[in-house]
Amino acid sequence: MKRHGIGLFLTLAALSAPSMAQAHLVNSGVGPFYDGALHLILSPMDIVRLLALCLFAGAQGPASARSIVLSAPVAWFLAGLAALVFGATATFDIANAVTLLLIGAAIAADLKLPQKIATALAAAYAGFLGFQAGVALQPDNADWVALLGTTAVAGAIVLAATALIASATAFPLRVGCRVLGSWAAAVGLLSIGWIIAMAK
Amino acid sequence: MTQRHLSPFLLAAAVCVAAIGYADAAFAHAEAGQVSGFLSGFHHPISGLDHILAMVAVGLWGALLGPPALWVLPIIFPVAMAAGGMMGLLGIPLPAVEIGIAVSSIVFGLFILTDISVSLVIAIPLVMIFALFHGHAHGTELTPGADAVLYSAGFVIATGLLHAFGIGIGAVEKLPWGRTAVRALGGGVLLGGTYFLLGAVA
Repeated sequence: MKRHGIGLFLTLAALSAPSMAQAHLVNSGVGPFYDGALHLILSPMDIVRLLALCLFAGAQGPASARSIVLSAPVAWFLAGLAALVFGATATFDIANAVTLLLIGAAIAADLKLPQKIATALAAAYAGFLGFQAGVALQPDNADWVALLGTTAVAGAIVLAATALIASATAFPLRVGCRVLGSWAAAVGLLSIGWIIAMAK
Repeated sequence: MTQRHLSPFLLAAAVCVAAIGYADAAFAHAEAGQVSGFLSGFHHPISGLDHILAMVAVGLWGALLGPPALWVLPIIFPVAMAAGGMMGLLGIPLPAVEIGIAVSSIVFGLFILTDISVSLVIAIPLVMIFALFHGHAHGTELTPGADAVLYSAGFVIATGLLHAFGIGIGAVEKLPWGRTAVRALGGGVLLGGTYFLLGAVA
């Protein structure tokens, strides 16, 4: 239990000191795979959205968490590939805010869904995030290898964080996850307000 | 007699939040040009003593009330505060915001000081209403910046950590002298709230 507590707290500390977001692909000097991996690591809000996905997955219980851990990276990669192949361009501000609000509310409310539905929703969200990764990689003429780099990092985060959260069965830790969900929902709600205010 | 110990996690949380809170000088408002980014958002809720007092008081009150209020209030507050922030951002008016913020500290302080057992049916709407005032004040003070999501994340996390700080302090209520100490802190919150109320109506 102590380990889980420390793990959650370190995650929180890491969130408290994020790096600046990088709009473009970072040149790691060791090839496109690592360029893609670094791109995701240096995008704090993408990490936050992934962690929200992990909180949702972990809160659904071990069986659902296992299927989400397997399906999310696949959905991420396929959706990202679709964005690269079809040259999709779009902005996702309002969609990101709304999805963060919904997933945060689901976590805060401790919403338990049947395994198939939870897996489908989580995969859809991972696909949405992967699609954005694909769109973000396009201006730098990145190929599927860079996308694979982002997928590897996303998969590693989903695997590690979901495992940590799903195995945290102690009541205070479950509550901690729900509080983090309420934070995600609040961020989504504030962002919606901000986006609408900016559009006025 | 069973020996009760403080949770190491809560103690660690309290120490870390205290360190974060001590890290920088307070500013009354977000400065122009610095509103974008996580740190700017993080600084905003901890830049006013009236906000800090009420946020910490929510945690203290939750700790005194015990479960489920202990965890329900910190879940409810950020969402209601975000709704208030959204109202502020959209220009939806809320009357007597500064008075509402000061009264929140008075009410929370009074409940902590008197240690009255309050049902969730009363505590939740009360916290939600006051959270709206706090959120609205923040929302109207924010100048929209480049990175809305990161700013919001910093803003919400700072608020949540202030609750955690309050809960961490409130954990001493498990000690023999702890409940009295927490109630005394409630008296301090009440006095602080009264001071801010006088300032708001003056």
